[in-house]
Amino acid sequence: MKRSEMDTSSVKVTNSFPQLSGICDLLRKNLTLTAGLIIFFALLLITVLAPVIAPHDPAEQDLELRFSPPSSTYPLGTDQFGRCIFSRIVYGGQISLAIAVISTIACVLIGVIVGMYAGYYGKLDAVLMRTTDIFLAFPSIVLALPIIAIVGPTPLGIIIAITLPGWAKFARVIRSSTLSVKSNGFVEASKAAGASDTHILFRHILPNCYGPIIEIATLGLGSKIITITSLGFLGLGVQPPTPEWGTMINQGLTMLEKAPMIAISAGSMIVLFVLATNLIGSELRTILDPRSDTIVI
Amino acid sequence: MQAIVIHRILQIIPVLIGISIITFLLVSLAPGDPAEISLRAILDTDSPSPESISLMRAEMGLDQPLHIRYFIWLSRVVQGDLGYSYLTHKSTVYEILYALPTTFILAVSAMAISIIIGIPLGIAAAIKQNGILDHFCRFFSIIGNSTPEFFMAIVLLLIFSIELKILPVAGSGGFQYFILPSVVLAIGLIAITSRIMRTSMLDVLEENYILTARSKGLDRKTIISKHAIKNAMLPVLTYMGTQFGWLFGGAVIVESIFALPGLGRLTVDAVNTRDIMILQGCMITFAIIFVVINLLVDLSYIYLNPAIKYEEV
Repeated sequence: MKRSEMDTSSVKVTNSFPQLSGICDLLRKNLTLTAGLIIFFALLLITVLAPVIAPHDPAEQDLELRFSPPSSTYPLGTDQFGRCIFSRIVYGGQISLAIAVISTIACVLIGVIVGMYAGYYGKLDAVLMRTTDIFLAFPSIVLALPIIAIVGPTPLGIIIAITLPGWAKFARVIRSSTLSVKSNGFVEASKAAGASDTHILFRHILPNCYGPIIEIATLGLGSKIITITSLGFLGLGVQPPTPEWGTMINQGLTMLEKAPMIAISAGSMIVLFVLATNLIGSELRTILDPRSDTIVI
Repeated sequence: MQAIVIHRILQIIPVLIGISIITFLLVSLAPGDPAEISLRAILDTDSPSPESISLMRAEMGLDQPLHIRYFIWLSRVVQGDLGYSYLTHKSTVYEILYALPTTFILAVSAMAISIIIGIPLGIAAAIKQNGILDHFCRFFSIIGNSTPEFFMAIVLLLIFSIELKILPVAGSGGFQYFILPSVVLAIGLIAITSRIMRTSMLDVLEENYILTARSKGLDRKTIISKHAIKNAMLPVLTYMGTQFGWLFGGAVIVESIFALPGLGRLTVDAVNTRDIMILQGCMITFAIIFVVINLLVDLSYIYLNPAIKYEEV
C-alpha cells in the first residue's frame, strides 16, 4: 500500500492555513491558485445558470437540422437528433457536479469518523486500517461496476458506487493528520484538564485537520468527476436523454468522423473542471506543507 | 528482517478475506439465480426444468443461510471453481485466463513507455530547475493528470486514426493495435513519474555525499550521471510498482474504447450482460493482482533498503 502511504505522509498539519484577511494577499501572489479558483467558479456558475445561458432546451429535437455546423443560433452545431450541442454541454455539468459534490461530502463524513477514531484510539487502528486496505485493493471503477449492476444506473446508484470505493483514501489522510495533531501539547493539556474524548476529537483535533480535509476534498472532487464521466462513457452512468458529459462522449464516439465537436467539447469541459480542482488542490498542498512537492494524484 | 517479511506476508490474509467477503456480498445481492445459470451452462439448454434447478440450488447450498453460503462459496473459490459464464457457457477461470495476457501486455507496455519518457524528463527538469523544460514538465504533468483516459483516447484516435490514418481505430490482432491504448495509459503515468523523478533528484542533489563529490572537484556531469541518478531511482521505481495496480484499473476504460479483449473489457461486458459469475471472477482477479503487486513492491523495498524501520501503516 505504498501509494496511499506516500499520499498520507505528505500531509502534515501546520498552522499556516491562512486566515480570511490574508486570503486576498495570497491570491495576488499565487497565480496558479487564482487561475484554478477562477476556472472552478466559472464552471460552477455556468452549470448553475444553465437555464439562462443555454440558447435552447437541451432535449429539444429538430430532425431537419441534424449534424448542422456551428452557426449563430447553434454555437457548436447540432447532434444526431438536431439538438443544440452547446446547450447540452452547458446543462451537462449539472448532474455530474451534483453527484460529485454529494459523494465527496459523504466520503469526508465517513473519512472523518473512521480516520479520527483510528488515529485517536490505537486499539481500533489496525482493524480500521486493514478495512481501508480491502477497499483500496479494488481499482475504484472495478468496485463501482458491480454496484451499478445491483442498484442500477440511477443518480443514487452512482453516488453509492462512487462513495463506497472512495472513502478509504479520505480515512487514511485524516488518520495521519489525527496522529500528528494528537502528539501536540494542547491535546495533552486538554486531557489533563479533564476534557472528554469527544470534546478533544471534535473541538481540538478536527479543526486542526481542516486544511488536509479541504485539500483532499478538492482533489477528490476532480477524481470523482472522472469516475462519474467514465461510468457515463461506458454507458453505465447517467442515462440518456439527460445531458451528461461522459454519456455525451460515449454517443459522440460513434460519430467521431461526422461530428467530432460533441466528444471534443464535452471532454474539454471535463478536463477544465479536473484541471481546476488539481490546480487548487496542489497549491493548497504547497501552502499547507511548503516542503512537499506537488504530486497531484 | 525475516520477521518483517513474514509479518508483511501475514498482513495480506485479512485483506484477502475482506476482498472475498465484499465480492461474495455483491454477487449474492446481484439479480439472477446462480443455480439456474450454472445449469444452463452444464446442460447447454436455455430452460432447465424447475426440479433440476431446485436440486442444483440444494447442491450449491443456496438454500442455506448467508454465512454458511459464504463458506461453501469460499471453499469452491479456493479450489479454483468460479462458476460458468451465463452467455458463453465456458468456465469463468477459462475466460479470465484467456483475457489476462492482453491486459498484461497493455500494462507492461504502458509501464515501459512511461519509464522511457518519464524518467529522463524528470532528470532533465531537476537539472535545470525552473528552466523551460521544468515548466513544460510541470504543465504536462498537470494536463496529463487532469485528462480522463477516455478523452485522451478520443483525441489520439482523431489525430492518428481518423486524420492521419496511420493506426487502426480499434480491435485486436497485432502489435499496432496495442500502440494507441498503451500510449493513452502511459500518458497519465508519465505525468506522475516525471514529477516524482524530479523531486527525488532534487532531494538527492542536496545530500552531503553530493556536496563531498563536488568539493572533491568532480564535474557536474559525473556527479549527476554517476551518483545522483542511481540514488534518485529507488523511490521512483518502488512508486512505479504500486502504479502497476492502478494501470489495471485504467485498462477497464481503455480496453473498452479500443475493443481489446482483456480483463477490463470482460468486466464491463459482464456488467452489461449481467454475467454475474464472470463479474465476480474479474473482481477477485483485479483485487488479487493489486494485493500481490503491492506485496512484491513492499518486499523489494525491504530487500533493497535493509535499514528501513518497519512501521505499522
